[in-house]
Amino acid sequence: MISLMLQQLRTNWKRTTAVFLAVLLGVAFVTASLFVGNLYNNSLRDATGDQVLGADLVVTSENGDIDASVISTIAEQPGVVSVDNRLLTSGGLSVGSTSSYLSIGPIPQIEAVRANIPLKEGVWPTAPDEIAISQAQADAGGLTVGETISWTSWESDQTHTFTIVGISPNDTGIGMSVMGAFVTPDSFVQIAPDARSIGLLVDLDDTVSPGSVAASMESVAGSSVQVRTFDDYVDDAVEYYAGGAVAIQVIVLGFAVIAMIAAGIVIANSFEISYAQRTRELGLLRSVGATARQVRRMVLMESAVIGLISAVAGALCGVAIVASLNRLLFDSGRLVFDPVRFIVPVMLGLVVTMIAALAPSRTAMRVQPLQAIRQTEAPLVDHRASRLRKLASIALIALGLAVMGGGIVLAFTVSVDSGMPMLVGILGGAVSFLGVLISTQVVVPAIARFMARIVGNRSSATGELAFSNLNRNPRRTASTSTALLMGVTLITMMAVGVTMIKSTLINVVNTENPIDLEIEGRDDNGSLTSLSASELRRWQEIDGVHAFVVTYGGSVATTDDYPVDLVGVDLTNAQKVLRTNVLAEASDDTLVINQDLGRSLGVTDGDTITLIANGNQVTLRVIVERGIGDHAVVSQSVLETLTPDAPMMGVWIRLEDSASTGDVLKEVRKTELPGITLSISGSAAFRAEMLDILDTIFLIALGLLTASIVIAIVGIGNTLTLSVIERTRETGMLRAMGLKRGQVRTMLATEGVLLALIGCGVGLILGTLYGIAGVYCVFGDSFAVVFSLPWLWLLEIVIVAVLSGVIASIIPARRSLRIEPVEALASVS
Amino acid sequence: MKANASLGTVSKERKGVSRERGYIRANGITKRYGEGENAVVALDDVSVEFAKGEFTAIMGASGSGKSTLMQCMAGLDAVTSGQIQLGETELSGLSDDEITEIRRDRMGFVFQAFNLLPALNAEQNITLPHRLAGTRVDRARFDQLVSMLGIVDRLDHRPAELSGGQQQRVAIARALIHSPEIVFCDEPTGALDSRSGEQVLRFLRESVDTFGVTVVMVTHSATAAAWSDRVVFLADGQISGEDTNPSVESVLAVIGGVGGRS
Repeated sequence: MISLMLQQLRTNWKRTTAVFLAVLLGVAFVTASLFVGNLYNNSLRDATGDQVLGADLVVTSENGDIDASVISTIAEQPGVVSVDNRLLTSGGLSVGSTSSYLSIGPIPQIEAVRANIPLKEGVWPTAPDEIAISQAQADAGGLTVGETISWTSWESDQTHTFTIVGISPNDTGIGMSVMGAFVTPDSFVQIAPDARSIGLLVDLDDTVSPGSVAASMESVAGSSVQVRTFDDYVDDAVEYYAGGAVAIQVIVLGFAVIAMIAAGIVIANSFEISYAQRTRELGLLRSVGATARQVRRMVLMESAVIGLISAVAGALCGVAIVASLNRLLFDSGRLVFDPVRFIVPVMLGLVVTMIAALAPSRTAMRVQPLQAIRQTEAPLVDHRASRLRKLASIALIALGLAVMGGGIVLAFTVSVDSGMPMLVGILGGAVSFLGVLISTQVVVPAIARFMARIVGNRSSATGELAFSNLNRNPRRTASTSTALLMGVTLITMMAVGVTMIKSTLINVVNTENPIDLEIEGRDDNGSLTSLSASELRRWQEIDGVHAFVVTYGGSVATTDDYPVDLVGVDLTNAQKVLRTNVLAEASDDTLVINQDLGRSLGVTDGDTITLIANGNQVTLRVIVERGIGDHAVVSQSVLETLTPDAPMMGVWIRLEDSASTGDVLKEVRKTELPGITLSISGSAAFRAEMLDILDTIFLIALGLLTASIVIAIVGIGNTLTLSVIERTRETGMLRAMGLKRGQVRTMLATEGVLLALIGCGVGLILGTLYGIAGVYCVFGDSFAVVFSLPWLWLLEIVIVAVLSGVIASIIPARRSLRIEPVEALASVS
Repeated sequence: MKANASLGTVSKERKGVSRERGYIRANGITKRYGEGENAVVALDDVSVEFAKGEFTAIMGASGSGKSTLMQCMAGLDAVTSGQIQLGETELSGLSDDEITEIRRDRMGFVFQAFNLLPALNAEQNITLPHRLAGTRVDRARFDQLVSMLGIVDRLDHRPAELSGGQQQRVAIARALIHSPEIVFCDEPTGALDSRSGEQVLRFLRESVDTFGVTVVMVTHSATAAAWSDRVVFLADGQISGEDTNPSVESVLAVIGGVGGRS
């Protein structure tokens, strides 16, 4: 039986291409995500290990400081050769006009530890004015060996000058305390007499066991410190820092599982079609004496062999991908081949393939011996979905929607900070999506029939043929589009979710601070200073500046002598600059302030206030607005009435939506202003950063979901290829009757596009709903959710779906056209 | 037999050969499969012509080349050498699309089995040639054909719901709907019982007489061949004889002589 099965497999291998690809892609993805996690842990282990490598024991304390008495107790323990108290001090490194943070520590005293910190260049400092700085610091400051740097201690404010003699590797220190530079111990005492300890490194005699010394040392040193062996320390550190990584890995694995489910659907469909086409062959087996059970066992064994081969290939691909990524991206990463992370995905691939083959194998088992002889046409299957399936899907969808609704209600009633509403929402979403996946056997054929009725009869012959082919085997159509439906739903959900979160947060940011860029000049003492008109006008010309208003400043006082710094602007221009309409009601007799300032001045919205300066006096109506910062805004004419020669203090700028904040600021900084430092604030940078983060999240999710989309496209191609084989004679007949080669291609492309569009359409609708629901679960009533849809993204998803339908039809069409009409017709008998 | 005798008088007379619509001619065609020593010659320098409005049967033993001859003349298969002319049109040397268009617009086909698309109903199958060409269906002709063929009440049935005879009648209607010049039939009665077979042959005969269409039918049945105006015999890729006044007996006499089946 096994040899027969293997022979069958050898002749039928082409039919299993899609199964092979689907398993391979899914397993490769799972393996890759497991190995990336492994890579991360190894880099972390290396990074933490390198810091203390060579030390036998690591002593740390909870609060950071270690008493001198504890140090001496530890030093006296039997077996201890030496104790290195690792110290750290912070300060600023000045290079030219810029200053950056630089932490300094003494050179490690234990020879073995120092030996494990190989200098990239130069030597360790030996003289008091010598320093070795880390590669990162050298790169950041453009520093090389031989240069002189000045460093100002943050503790004593004293400045010291050092000559760089060596470049040390990065990430040297204990825990989070990274040493940016090393000096001699003597020099260190000079620059930081009161430096804090970040831990002790202990060198032991070779005769004692570090484990037992650590245990006895902890008991004498007291509970304030923790004594660990090198290995324990690294394990703990990895566990501590990898905590965040675990969460990321779980998410990535989640996407991998989705890819595996998509693969499972494609695999099951492929087997189903493949067995249907091998009816005669299976019938022949039955007629020569194979039992139904034997036939089933044979096809299951087949699937196991295919599953195993493709899963191993997939796992190898996954490792290869990670290995090449590792070489390309992180040169420091050390990829360790962990057999568990290889075997688990392989087993997963095998199990998914076997499960996917279960239902189709029953089809194979049902083949009767007579079917070997009976001539069967391309089957016109009318599988009615079972009642159970309908009921189950309705129940799951209803339950899921109810739970999801509950999540939204929770988000509005209890705090969203707990994350509870989101968890409930995700649960509901998952349950309802499961219901949707089950329901596709009912829904997709209904959509296909509906589309055929609406469009089919009005389209060309090829279009009509495509529609009727689609409705020929509803179950196959359903499973084929389900795989795509999954991917599209999730991508759409991410796109809609991220877009709405973006618009909501932008709205929040704009409300808090409606000014993109606020530029002011400050003198050496940090006080506001006036700017000249020519500079301000130049900024107005910068590319990316959408609107621009000059601010004038003036100090005035209330009748109670309370000082107020007024900002005077041209109200019309200012409104063009602001992203909200906080100045909409402002006029030549109003003062716009925020609530805090209003409280200080003892006024609220609608009150009047009298302001005095230089003997001039005006009475203004107070408007209290939320998003105006701590400015007290009046119109330019009001300010001139009070202080006739009010100086220009700066500008408010609104950027074009497409402009890069960085590029605009670079231009602004090009202006040379002797004695004046520009102070730049505003929401643009924050907004850009926030959008950047959200876009990155979306792109990562998109990248991860691509795997399932590719698998779905393989599925469409597979369904079409197998349909083409099944319809060989039919195509031959059509070709004989006058269907042109181009029309055959069009017909298959139309089928592919229709399959893709059904999955894509349902996915778009579901994804949009899930995305919106998700946003409400995340925000509740903590922020006013701003409704917006990523139309461009949705359009692109449709375009990709159409293209993938066309692409998926290319190979099947070539195959179909390779068969000449005569051959096709000859296969009648 | 009775039908043959009575209908036979209508068109027994050989018509003068003219290069008009419906006239098809093979001029020294050879069809060779494979290369060198393994080459199989299916057709060896065959020249034959079929006049407009003539019902010709091609007979011969299995492997005699009768199906290959039909397929080559129908442009379904390319000849190794020689020419084929349909009316004024030279078929050899045309592109696949050009030949496909000729098949679509000027030819009709009836095969032994699997004539119909399982996903389309009878009416949709019949009108398929028009929809492939994007032309309007001649309703009068459609009505005439379906009533002539007795399938009026079967139009909304799918092929699976039709008997073999009904399927072949639908196939004949489809082969004739677009007023082709020539209809090729490959063993049209091969898969039918004798009663249904006779009905199909009667309709073919009638369509030749009613519409003046040229019919070329490949068959190995003497009974079927007796319905034709002329029988061309093939053996080993060459024309071995001709019977211009065929009857079951005369045909059997020939194919018995060349070792064919009855």
